[in-house]
Amino acid sequence: MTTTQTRTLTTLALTALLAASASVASAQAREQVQQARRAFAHEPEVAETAREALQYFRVHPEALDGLRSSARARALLPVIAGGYQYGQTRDQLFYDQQITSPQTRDQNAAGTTHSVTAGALWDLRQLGFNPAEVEVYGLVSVQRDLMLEITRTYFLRRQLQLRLALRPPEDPLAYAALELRVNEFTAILDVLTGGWFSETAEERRRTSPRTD
Amino acid sequence: MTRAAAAWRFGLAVALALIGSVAQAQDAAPPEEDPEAAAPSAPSWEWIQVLASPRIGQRLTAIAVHPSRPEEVWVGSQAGIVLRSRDGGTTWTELEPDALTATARTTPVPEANGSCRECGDDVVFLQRIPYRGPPYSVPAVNPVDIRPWFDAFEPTTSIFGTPRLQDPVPRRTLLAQAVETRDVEPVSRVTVCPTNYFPLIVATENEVLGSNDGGYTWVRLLRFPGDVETPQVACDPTTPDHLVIATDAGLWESDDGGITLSPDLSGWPRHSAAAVQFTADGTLFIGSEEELFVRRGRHDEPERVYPVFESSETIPWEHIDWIEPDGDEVWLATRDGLRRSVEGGRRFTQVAPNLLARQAIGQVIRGESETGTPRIAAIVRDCPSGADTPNEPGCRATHVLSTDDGGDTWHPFFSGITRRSIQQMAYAGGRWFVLTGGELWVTARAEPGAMDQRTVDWARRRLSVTPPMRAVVEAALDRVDLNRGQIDSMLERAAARSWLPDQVSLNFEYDAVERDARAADAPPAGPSAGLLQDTRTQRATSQWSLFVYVRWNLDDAGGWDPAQLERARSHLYEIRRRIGFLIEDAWHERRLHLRRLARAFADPYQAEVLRERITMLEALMEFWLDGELDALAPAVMTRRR
Repeated sequence: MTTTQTRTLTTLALTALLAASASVASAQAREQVQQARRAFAHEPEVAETAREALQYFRVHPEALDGLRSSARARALLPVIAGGYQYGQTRDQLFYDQQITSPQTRDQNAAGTTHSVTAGALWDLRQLGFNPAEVEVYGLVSVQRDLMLEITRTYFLRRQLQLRLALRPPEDPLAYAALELRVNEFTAILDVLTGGWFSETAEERRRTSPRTD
Repeated sequence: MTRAAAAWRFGLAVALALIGSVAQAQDAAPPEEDPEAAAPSAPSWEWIQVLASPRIGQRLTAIAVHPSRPEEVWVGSQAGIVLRSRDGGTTWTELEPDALTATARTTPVPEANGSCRECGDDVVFLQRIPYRGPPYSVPAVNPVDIRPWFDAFEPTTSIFGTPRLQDPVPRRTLLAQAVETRDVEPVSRVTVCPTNYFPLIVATENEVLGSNDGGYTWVRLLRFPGDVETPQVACDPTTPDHLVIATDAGLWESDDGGITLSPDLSGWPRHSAAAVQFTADGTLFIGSEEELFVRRGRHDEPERVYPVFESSETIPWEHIDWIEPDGDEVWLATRDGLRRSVEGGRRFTQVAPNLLARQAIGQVIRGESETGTPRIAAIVRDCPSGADTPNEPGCRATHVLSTDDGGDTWHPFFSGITRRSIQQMAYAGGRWFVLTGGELWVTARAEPGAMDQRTVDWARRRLSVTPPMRAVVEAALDRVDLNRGQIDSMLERAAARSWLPDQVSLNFEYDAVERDARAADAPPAGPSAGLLQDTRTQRATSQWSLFVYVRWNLDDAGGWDPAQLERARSHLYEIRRRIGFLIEDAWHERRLHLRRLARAFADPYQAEVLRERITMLEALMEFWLDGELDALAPAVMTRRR
């Protein structure tokens, strides 16, 4: 083998080693990503978290549909009023005439009256349209704000989790601060879902088979 | 096997492996660039979009990048929000500059209700919050008036008074509350001063706020009554805590990082200060309308360097909007072209008069080219003739030009596809930032192989089955019953409701009367004269009645007069607009991230964060669609998936 051939082979071998180390690093990164994904696998997904939050705040789409239809059906229910009246009358007459044709009359009369009234009133215009139908659309904005808040919080929390898993800060204080922020966002999600988020995550963690 | 043969075999295997890895890397690499575009002086950066603003109330207005940590980016918005990214634009945090805990630096003015507790020096000034009343006013409606029940029954009136289901007086209904907007202070400038007591300074239209904890809490540094703009803030790179603020009310200066500010009383500028900038050696340039001043030392008097009337070479220019000094070279962005001086602010010449004369230049900044040589970039505004200021309607900055040879040759620089007006630029750490009204673009280069190929493939597949935006928006509006047909039909029903009776009443009345009468008579004559006649009468009567009463009120008794109908229509359309824009924003942002991943412009961390973001955006859209996003994609696209 000539010296040139040996140099070429050495260069090729070194390049191969570099390529191999690069692919090892890439594989490590892939493994880290997979590991991070496995760590979140038991957590509720953003879509179901949002659904739960809307249910918790009673502004889920079915609730809005129900409010709209019941706004019209409400027209069938009348305004009802009732009344009772009790009356008592007393009439007393004493008549005494002495001169031309004397006569005496003593008369007593008493009366009691009971009156009962009941009435029902319908506004049939509400069958055609009830202003509350329009008002219900105001809740669409509440729905939108809640959706944005949930998705924003969920994403902020997840991005911090990824940061901790894939690019953790070296400073212990910064690491602890990140963990604290994750806990903060978990608490917000719990507040928005009535504790459902953490409970469900914990339940799924217990019941799902270990993958790590 | 000989040693040479073994070596050849090893070499061959390595070569094959290399060919394979190169082929894989080529898969991940973006398409090759046009060779002509890669000419030495032509910019060839790839622009990637890293931020998309919501369509409503979130027009992006200002950008600042930390000079030594270019991953830290700050963006101000029309809605008074400051967005912060600490990873170069992958993730963003919203911060609201609200000086809730601020100590007013300006003299507090006592109010009539005595909200200023102790009006001395350095007092806490409590802002009086106007009382707006309860969120919902109780309508003055009493559908049942009880008194008529005990009156005589009159067929001409109802026993129920007049029910008013809709208060004719305008009130804060739920719908009106849903569409109302809040008062905001648009951010006009964000400045990062690392050596300042308040490293982050935000100027809104009327005040300047500082933060020294990354934007979580803010202190109001300066505020003027009335409409006084604060166009620019500049920090002295040679003296910590020394900063100047250019305002419509002259120049304000602080030596303690903004804790106290005092006006410059040197008698200039005579007009408002519009642009300020320090050089690396602490020389201060101040632009005031069409005049330029320079101050060499902290305690020197500013010297006017333009206009100079002894030279006929420098033609007058209009308003100075930006100063970019570097040593002896000074660039000026004016509303009448671009100027350059190579003598420390003297003897300005007009740059590229054929190209830029009579053009409003919004900003000029210095950075580096792809090869590390100096590059100057300028935002050129396209204003209709007759527009005096670049803020007038129709005046938009639509392109950025750059030069690498001191202004002799100019090239189009920013190549991102946007329909929004360009607001500001920044340069730090080898990256250029261009902020438009709705996006932030950054120069970047893809690093082949940095991203997992499977993620790239996943992004390409998702892109290929993206349904048309129009279909997504319409499906979402259908879902919330807010398409045009549904709104119109509902309002038609509202208008037609007066034809239905507003009162149908069924009234039942029962009366029972018992009477007991006793009479004693003594007749004066006759056979029974003098005898007492005693009579007693008992009578019980009862009666009942059933009454049906129908009333039509054809004069909009329900309160749905044309004005109210129109108000309801505008509110519904506003909600429709918000939902539609929300979907549009989500659709655009999803596509933006997918395109970035498909072009491999991300490291593994960024790729994973962007994937999560995409999942979130899809969930957001699918909620409004009540179904899978892919279901809206044309069948051909779905098959490709």
